[in-house]
Amino acid sequence: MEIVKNSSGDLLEMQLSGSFDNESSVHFRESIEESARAGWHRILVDLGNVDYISSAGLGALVAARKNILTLNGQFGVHNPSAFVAKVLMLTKLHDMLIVAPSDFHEFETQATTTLDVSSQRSARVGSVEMEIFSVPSTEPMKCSIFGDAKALQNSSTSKSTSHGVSFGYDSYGLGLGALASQSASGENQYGELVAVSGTVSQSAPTSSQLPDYSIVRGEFTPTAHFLYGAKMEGHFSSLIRFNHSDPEARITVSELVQCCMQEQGIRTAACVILADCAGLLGAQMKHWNIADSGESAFSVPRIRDWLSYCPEHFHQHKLALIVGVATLDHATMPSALQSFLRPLSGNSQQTGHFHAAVFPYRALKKRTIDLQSFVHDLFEESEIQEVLHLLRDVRPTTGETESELQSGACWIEPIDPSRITEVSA
Amino acid sequence: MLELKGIFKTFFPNTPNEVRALRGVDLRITPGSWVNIIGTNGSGKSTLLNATAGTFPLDQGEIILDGNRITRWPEHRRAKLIGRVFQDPFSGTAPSMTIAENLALAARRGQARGLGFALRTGWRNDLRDRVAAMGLGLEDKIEKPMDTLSGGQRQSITLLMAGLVRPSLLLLDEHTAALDPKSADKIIELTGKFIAENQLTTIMVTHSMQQAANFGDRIIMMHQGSICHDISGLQKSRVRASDLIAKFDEVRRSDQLDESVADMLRSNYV
Repeated sequence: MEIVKNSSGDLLEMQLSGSFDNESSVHFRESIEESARAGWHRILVDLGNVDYISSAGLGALVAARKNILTLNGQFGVHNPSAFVAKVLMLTKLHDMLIVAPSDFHEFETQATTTLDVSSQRSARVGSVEMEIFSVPSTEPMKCSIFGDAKALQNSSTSKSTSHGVSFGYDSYGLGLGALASQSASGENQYGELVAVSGTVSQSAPTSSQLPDYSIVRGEFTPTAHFLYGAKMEGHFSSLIRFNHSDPEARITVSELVQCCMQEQGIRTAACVILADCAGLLGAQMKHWNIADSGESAFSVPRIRDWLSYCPEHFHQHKLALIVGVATLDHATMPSALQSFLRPLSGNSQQTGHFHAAVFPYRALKKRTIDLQSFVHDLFEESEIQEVLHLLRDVRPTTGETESELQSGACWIEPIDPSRITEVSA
Repeated sequence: MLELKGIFKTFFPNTPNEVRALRGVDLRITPGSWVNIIGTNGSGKSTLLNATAGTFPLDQGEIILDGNRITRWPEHRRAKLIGRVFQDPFSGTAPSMTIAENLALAARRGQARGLGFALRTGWRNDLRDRVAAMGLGLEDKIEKPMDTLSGGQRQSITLLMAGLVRPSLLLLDEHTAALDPKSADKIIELTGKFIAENQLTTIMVTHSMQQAANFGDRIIMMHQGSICHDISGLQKSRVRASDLIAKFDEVRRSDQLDESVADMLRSNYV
């Protein structure tokens, strides 16, 4: 089967010709996924030249319709050949799938009921195109910093203290620590942590194992035991949908966050990003032994025992859930936050820290997304694959490499330096 | 019981071709257990097998097999206790001698093999039964020379020879690697049956993750002359070939962590 795509406005028309059997249905599914990824959420399929359709073909059409509808898009088929029309009638799929192209009129964008958008506008910073949705902000966001990264690295004490931090629906966080409390696990099974809207996930000790996670349910609220980390509490008042002006180009995480901050006029920010990955670059702790060995832990080959990092991009075309903190005024930040942040660019005042949880690819619907319900569905219906500390790899010999994104959504909220608290041991 | 304690071996020391093949291997294998050794090329897995068999002297370390300190025993003396099957189906047998003669030689392993030995009728029948038990239909060919057999048939005979006098330890060095896939499957099935029936303590070096996952009760993964993973018990019973491949990828990833990366991580990670 051959698939020819034509577009007019935001409508994508797919002309199929040949035999729509099981073999072609694979090609069709891939083609639909590829189109959805490229941002086509209104798809009309012309079956005029399809001389045969099997149940596999019908299944692919029904599945495509379901996928596109969950993205709040529009899907239909028209102009079926005599054979296909007969099959659609007999299988009673006719009413569900067939649309008259005249009915496939200008798609009315539906604002979701879950997010009350008070304003919407478009902007462009550098080569990043943005669509910004805002809701009136309520309470300013609070930020707490637990432990001290620098103190840990130069730790003279043999035992590191952890901070039990609970993560309910309106909290976000990232750090190094464990889901299981120290005493329960016996051995210190620490790793990278990511917390978003009542979910906490922790990296596995090796990249061949699965990360663990806990989610708010009923009376239960997950707790992260931070060696060090940050917790943000409150609501995001801005959601920025982003993509690169050149569909072939990629946006680095640092670039995206800095563009969003610049557009919003924010100096210090908390953010959550959901994005289609072009490739992630990050490290994972296998187990914690810095406290015992100090600086020499970073020598080769010793570092290989406890830290997993490979200077290669991974997870292309996966969905990344990223949480981070960034500032443009590094020097004025509280010292615990300072030691938590790393340079985002050559300018030492621009710093940040980001962790990512990686999931299989899932298309994001257009416009607004309800972060909480999306993330909970993600954990329930999908399988978390990895949790990483995203790194900007800058070395004199190799230059600069960083995690890259294709497109997605970034929730961003200013953090007032006066609302930052340090919680030390 | 096999014990390897602090085994070191460097080939061509102090030359440009120096290879630090084994860098401190400690391994304890309980009687009756079947250990599979996997690892990348040059990881030291075959060297470890050859060190056990006595192909070369060790630089350092000790080998104890069933209470015997065999570290300084020459290869032929260790052969009394150790049965071996090699990768090359042409090794380990005498090609111009018949199957029966090869088996008769193997049956006298560890004993004096003077010129006086002969194939008596009683023996012959016993050997025929053993060959028949393998289910390969080779029992009618035992008077044929070894070099008339296919690779798979030879490996099955070699396997039988290795276990004819019950060895304290059976070493399998990628013994299915040179065979076609169908023969390889047949030989590995036969190997499993043979080891189980005779309750042999076995070390098998293999490149096949499928074999490593499906057979045996422990997997040792080697990297750069030492053991980097030791999978046994419940973990072994759950392991899939894809998990082992993922572990290889992990090793490959960690190899890329060099000094310059370590410097970057020192200032960026914690």
